[in-house]
Amino acid sequence: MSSPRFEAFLARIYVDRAAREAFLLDPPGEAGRFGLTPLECAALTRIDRPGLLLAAAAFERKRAASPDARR
Amino acid sequence: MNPFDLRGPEFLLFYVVLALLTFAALFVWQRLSGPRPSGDRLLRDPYLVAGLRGGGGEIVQVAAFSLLAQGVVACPKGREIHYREGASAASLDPVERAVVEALRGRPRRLSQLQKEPAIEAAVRPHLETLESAGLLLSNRQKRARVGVAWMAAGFLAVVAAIKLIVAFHRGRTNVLFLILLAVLCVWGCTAWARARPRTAEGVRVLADLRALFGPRRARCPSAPSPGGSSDLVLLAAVSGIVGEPFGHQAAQRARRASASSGCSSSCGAGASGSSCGGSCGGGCGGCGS
Amino acid sequence: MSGSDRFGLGWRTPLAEGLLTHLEQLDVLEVVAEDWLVRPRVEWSALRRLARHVPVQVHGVSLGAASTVRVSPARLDRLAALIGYVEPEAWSEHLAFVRGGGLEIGHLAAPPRCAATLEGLARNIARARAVVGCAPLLENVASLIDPPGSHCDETDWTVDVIEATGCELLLDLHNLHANATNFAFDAQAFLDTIPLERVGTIHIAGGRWVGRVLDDHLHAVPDVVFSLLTRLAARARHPLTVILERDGAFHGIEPLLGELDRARQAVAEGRAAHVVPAL
Repeated sequence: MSSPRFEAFLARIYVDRAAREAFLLDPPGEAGRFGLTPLECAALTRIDRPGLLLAAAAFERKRAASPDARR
Repeated sequence: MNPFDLRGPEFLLFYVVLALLTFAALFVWQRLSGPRPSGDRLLRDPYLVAGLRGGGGEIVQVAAFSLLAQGVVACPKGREIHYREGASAASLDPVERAVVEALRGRPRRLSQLQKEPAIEAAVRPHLETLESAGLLLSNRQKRARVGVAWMAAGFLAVVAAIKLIVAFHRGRTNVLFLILLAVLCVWGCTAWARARPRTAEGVRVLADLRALFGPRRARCPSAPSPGGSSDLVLLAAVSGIVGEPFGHQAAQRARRASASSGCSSSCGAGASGSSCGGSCGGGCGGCGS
Repeated sequence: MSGSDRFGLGWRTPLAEGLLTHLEQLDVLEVVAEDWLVRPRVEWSALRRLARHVPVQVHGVSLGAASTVRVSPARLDRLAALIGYVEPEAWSEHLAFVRGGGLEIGHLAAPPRCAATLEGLARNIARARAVVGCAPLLENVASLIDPPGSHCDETDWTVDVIEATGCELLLDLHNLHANATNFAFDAQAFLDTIPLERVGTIHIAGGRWVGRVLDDHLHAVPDVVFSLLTRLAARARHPLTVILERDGAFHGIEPLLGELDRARQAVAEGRAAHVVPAL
């Protein structure tokens, strides 16, 4: 499932280190507090954790390399 | 109202505005006098590009750079260019060949090579090609430009002269600013006539090439590449050369730095053939996280 | 058919002199839209001039069309202006979202493979088609994370995308390889399943191992990608356009031309072993 709020949450945990760490400590709690539906929270509870960390690092490298290009 | 009746400061302001309008008219004439830019032509020959950018002298400099990059010549002190005995001169452009012939037996400075008749003869076909292609002004167009420039200069000079006569007639002698301004305007018109004779299409072709290449300039490679530097030569033609390998400034820097590269002590120390001066058109960056 | 296969490179400014010097060896060039959208409009004439000499495809990276959120009208308008002025033979974008909740992710993120994303994508593509005047090719993206919220696999997703949008696919074989490796599915089976006649352009590229395969466009194209290209060429009945993407770590143009020659060889091998797809 997806929604604008779901994508916003994904963007947040991809980009914001603190938000990501808080999420990894309590996935359903953080997702619920963000206003996601129970189904969305459940999906995030099953998130690919190693992939999340790798992806976040890759996105951070990209942002550092070209902070404002193409935006 | 008769502008010649204006008081000194007001007339100076009027004259400045008149001069600016005259220069604007010259600019518009230049833009309208040639064929409308077609936007089709893509120059890829380094010597045509060099000729468009800086005339015959630039063609010779790019040829010398090409020979330097190939290891056919050397310029150890950043002044005189030496032919390297035994260097392979097999597949050279006619301009490069003419430069090599001029260097056999004695080293020469770039400025001397640029005036060498045999080299000028080798350069001329490139300039003629550019004229035929409508990228450089033809001799007829250059004469027309000079004529228009002198008309503009004459017009501004006559206006100033009339005001000077009126001023002297009225006992005014503080006319120095007007004289200086008039001299400056006449000089400006003649400078415009002598400026790089590119047509509107030529201006656009060169600007587009520079946009494609970005803010980079060619740097002499650290190791000569016999017969294999055509990419680098094109960059040199479009954007110029880093480090002034044939200029005395480079030699002075080299002496101060006391470092030498494989190319020569007057060249920049870059290990690659091009230097990236700014944003590099980075591309997609990988299509995924 | 096989005589019309085309091979090209991504335009990158550090390669400008090499690309122009060797233009005869290139059938097509791909330019990244955002590299030009950040420049003054007067410089777009350079791209237009280039497009008059060699077929050009414009490749966007920041639209974020695979999203439940509407794409920015301003971005679409500017992209449309560039495309309208340059007149490329085609334009393309990614099956990705790039922002959410006001945050820019910084690059292409694989969206949840679900009905909601599909609906949002279809709406965004319809809007793009209306503004730009033609639909883009859509490129599959590589991902280091298995997209959360997904309800189908990549193969079914790709088929659904083609059906829902009516777009052709820009099939990135390295991205396919990366995802197949990272998430344990069969890339060859993917090729055997998707409607190959809807593959408009192919990307090949290289990457590196970071614990999973990262598509960084900084390394040589691996053998497995050429093998996929051969398999695709063996099954495709239409001419293929293959574009090599390289974004940095350049060592001149010659190595890239060499990889392109290898791509030609891979396609030729596939054509020679032409396979009639099973019904």
